[in-house]
Amino acid sequence: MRPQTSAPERRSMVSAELQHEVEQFLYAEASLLDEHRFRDWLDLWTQDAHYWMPLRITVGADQTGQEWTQAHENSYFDDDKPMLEQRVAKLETGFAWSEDPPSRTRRLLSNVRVREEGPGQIIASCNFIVYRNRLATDEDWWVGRREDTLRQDDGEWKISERKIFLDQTTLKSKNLSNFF
Amino acid sequence: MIDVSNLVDSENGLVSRRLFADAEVYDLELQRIFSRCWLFLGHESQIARPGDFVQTRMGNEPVILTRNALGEIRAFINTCRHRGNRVCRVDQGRTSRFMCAYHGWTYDLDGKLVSVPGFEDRYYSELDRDQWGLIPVTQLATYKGLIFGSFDADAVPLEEYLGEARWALDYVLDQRAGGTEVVGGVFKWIIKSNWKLGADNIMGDNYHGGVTHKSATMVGHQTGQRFVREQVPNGVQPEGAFGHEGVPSFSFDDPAGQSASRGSSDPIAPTAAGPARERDPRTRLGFTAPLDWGHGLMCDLVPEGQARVRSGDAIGDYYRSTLPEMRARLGDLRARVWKVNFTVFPNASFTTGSNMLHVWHPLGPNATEVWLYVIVDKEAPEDVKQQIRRLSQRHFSPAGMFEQDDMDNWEQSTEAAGGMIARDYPLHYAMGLGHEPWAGEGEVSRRMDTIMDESNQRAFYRGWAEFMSGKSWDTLRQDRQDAPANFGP
Repeated sequence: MRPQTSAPERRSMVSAELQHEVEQFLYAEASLLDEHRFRDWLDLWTQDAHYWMPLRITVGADQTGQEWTQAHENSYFDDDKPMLEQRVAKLETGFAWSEDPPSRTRRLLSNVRVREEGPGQIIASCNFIVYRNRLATDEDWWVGRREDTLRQDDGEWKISERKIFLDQTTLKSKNLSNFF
Repeated sequence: MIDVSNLVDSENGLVSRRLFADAEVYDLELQRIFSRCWLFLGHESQIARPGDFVQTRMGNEPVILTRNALGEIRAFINTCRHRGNRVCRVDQGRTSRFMCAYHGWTYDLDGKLVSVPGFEDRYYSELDRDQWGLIPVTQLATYKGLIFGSFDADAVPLEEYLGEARWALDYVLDQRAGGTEVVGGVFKWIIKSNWKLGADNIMGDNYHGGVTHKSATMVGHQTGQRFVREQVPNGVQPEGAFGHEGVPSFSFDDPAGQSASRGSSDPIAPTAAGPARERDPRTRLGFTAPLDWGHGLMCDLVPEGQARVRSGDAIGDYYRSTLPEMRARLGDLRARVWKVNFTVFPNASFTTGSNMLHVWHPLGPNATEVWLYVIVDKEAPEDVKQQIRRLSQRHFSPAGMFEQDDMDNWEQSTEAAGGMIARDYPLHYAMGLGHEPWAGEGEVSRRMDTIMDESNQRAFYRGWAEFMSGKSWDTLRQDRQDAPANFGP
């Protein structure tokens, strides 16, 4: 199946209150990553979480439906919760050289659009800029769109799925040792 | 012009840092290595049908790889002969023509110029279209699904060039009758590293895993966990830990090593737990084979009488079920391969434990575009392909648990190579020099009984120096016949 890449409806289909709540959740989540509070960040994910970032391909204007690798093809991330936990555990070993010294990251989220997907479940689409600075002058900018499925769990929002659509085909970074 | 004849000191295992930073050296590499050697272009499965095409690279040339109407493989430099514009701007697709978007010169799948706007009234029908086709790749050849090309008409035939690297290539490509295919999507990313650092790492660096990849192995993220030993009478059944790329780990489960502060313990010391001989890279089974033309392979084996199979999941079941076919096709020794990592000079590096092929496309002395393919048996069930893909990309790919730390190291090696003072201090590639435990006759003739040694890297830079000398293929071939002792027994 092709990934869902079309933008959601033009206008937000939810109340201002829910819109605000979802935005605040996403901002708080982003700041956990910027602050390197990875264990707290993991707590925001459901046990059946899926974290996926396909490759992007330069195709002709008549083939834009084929510019992302599909679910069964290569992707930068195709992680379940245990894999996300392993990534965090790696950072905690004291030997994760690509993040030691740690990178300095800043996540900017905008254009948040929310639609309800049944009781207690919403899909939030947003645009992101993730800025990474490391050592003296290393610098990366990742710009793209995210599509998050959030689910109510004991009165809290949890993330059950994240699709990350990057606006680069050839990745202009040495690695992706961080989260989106 | 820079004198490249003394940059590699094979006798002492020293390599000048100018190889990793100098613009003149880089230009000569494009001329004497990337314009001459056989280079990997793609896998046949990427262009299965006539008209299928992908963009690829040879040195600093963008190349279109396609199949003509007869299904024959064709490759051209992606540049119009009129004003030089790219005639193809997409990564892949299917077409019958490549039309330049500047003035409309149009080429067919054989690279022939078939349409020129204004041909009759502006060129007076005098333009010799046969002379103005796309610039073809001079030689094309395939080896069991892999497509190689060379811009040098004098290059030795591909099979001769690959030589004994075919022993390892067959392990990748020929385990099953149906051959292989690549998984959809090629990872492409740019690192600020010289292209040679990746090539020399994969072909024989079993030394770095215990340090570079310690974090990945500590959290149990290892390709090796896919492997177990086949039960045989009196066979050893190792338990637990394996390391980078399916080889027995040598430090991560050592409590003493973990509690010690960073850098204060010897990360390659054998551990008390488990069969020490199998965990210690200095004594465990396998061999290193520094080959001709700059190639080299490093192979880990399981003990005689055992076979490499993988455990537990769909991948394990698959490799268990295909082992008899694989053994029948490739023989007992390759049925004992745990993993074999190798580089086909100059820039195609294979890691079999993760079903991966890295191609190191040079972008300058201090930048490389890495292209990464996942290769699977064509006949493997879809769920097996999926599991292999997932494991592979979790290990090697920009976000891979192993890869992310490699890239970080190579960028800093490259940056440091440019220092005005530091560049005159050569890099040390002398591990094991003068102590090569050459083995006797075997399937791979030039092999030695070690899997931690820098002989392969020395072979790589020896091959580099030979091509950079500008000697003809005939001379290089003759040198090999005259002085095989330089290479081994």
